[in-house]
Amino acid sequence: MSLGESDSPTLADVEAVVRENVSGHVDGDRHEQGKQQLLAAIRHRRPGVARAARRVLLGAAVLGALAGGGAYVWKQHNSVRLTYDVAGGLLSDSGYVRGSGPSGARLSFSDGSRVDLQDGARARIAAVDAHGARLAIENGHASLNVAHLPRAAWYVDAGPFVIQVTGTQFEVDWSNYDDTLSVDLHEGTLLVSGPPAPTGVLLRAGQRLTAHEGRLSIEALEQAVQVLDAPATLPALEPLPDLEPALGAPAPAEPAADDANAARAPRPEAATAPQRKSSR
Amino acid sequence: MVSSPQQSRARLVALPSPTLAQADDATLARAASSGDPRATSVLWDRFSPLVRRMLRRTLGPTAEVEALLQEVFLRALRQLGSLPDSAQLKPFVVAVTVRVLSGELKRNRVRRLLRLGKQWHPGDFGHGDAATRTALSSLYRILDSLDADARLAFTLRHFEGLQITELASAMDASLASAKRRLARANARVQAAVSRDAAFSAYTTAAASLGDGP
Repeated sequence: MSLGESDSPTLADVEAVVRENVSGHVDGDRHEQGKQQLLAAIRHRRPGVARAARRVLLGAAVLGALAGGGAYVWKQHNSVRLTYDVAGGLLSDSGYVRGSGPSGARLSFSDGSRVDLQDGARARIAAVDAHGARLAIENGHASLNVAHLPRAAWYVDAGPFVIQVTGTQFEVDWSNYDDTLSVDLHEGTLLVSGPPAPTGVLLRAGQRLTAHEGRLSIEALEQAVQVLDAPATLPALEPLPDLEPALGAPAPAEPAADDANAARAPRPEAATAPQRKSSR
Repeated sequence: MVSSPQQSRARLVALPSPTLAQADDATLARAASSGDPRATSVLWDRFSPLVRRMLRRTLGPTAEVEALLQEVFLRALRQLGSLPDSAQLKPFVVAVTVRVLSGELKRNRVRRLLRLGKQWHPGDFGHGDAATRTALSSLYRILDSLDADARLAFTLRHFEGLQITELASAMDASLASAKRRLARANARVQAAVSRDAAFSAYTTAAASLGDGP
């Protein structure tokens, strides 16, 4: 190679090292292989069509990207968790709520749902997602008005009981002193599960459910209708999808394998099938 | 003499010479643009070593060289139809190669900004002794620091020996722009190789061996 006059590298050194060591030569096989590759590419490409196809593909890619972006924005919009605020009560960082005055506390959610905790009632917001929340009543009386929205999914835990809600008005009273649950349903339907009814009991508007000491009764709000002594084989609760783990709240009862179909589609008549009428 | 599809027969029989390998540029260009595979074959034989060398010397020995070589020929064949009869093929092929190189260098610069660029190692330069390979890896690291235009100006001038007018033409730039780019590149590369220990060691060792390794 040719070098500059001093030991310091020059551009001539740079030229030389590349020119002497980097060539365009390849062996005959590789040369022929490249030629055949080119000829094959020309054979399989119709001039003009390839360019048009590229434009179409580019257009499709742009449309796809726009559609994907729209879907992402839509999903983001729909996956925004509900927000809520508390009036007349105290809310701790862990989601614990209790009234701070005689009028109790009101929880107002961004989907329009409301929960009124009576004076002395305590509850915990165990989880919130885009379609509902999980509320654990620790003690006392709560009135709930859940907005009837598509895919609404609300759960209320009261001691060992779980109430599955899909747009309705009801009142829950849970006493952790004597483990008594009372649910008054004014509108819609509810599915209540607990030790006396592991797979759930369907409650209709105008009914009251009471559970105490292993007995579960359903009666009209003014008049007793049914009493349930034994565990019922009723529609199972559906798991609440996408909710964060409940903070100390009991999980809904897992449906038994035999009840898998029932779990998908609660059957109103199932609530009465295993039950025994009471004259009470 | 012609066994190609009927569609191209009329054009092929109009060729003045049955031996395309000896055909002049205009004849070869016409035949290649008409889709004659023999002309494509001759073009490949005639220009692929030049194009491959330009790609290798400008980009370094990367895996993309063979794919870019195909890209150069596909582009050239597509544009041959619009080539004036008086035009020479070699400057045309060089200009197409420069355009492909320019695009690739710009993409490489973005890759480097995203830290996805190639890291040069002496092992990438398969031929020569260890000192030469180390010097080459240092040099291509230095070239990677140049912008696409400056790098192209430098490699075309110093590695391919293009005159400044040819350089300007190939880069589709004015003479003044070509000179500016080259001057900028020369200054950067000169300063960098002077500071580079591996390159300095290589030149010192080569000088002590007389005419180099």
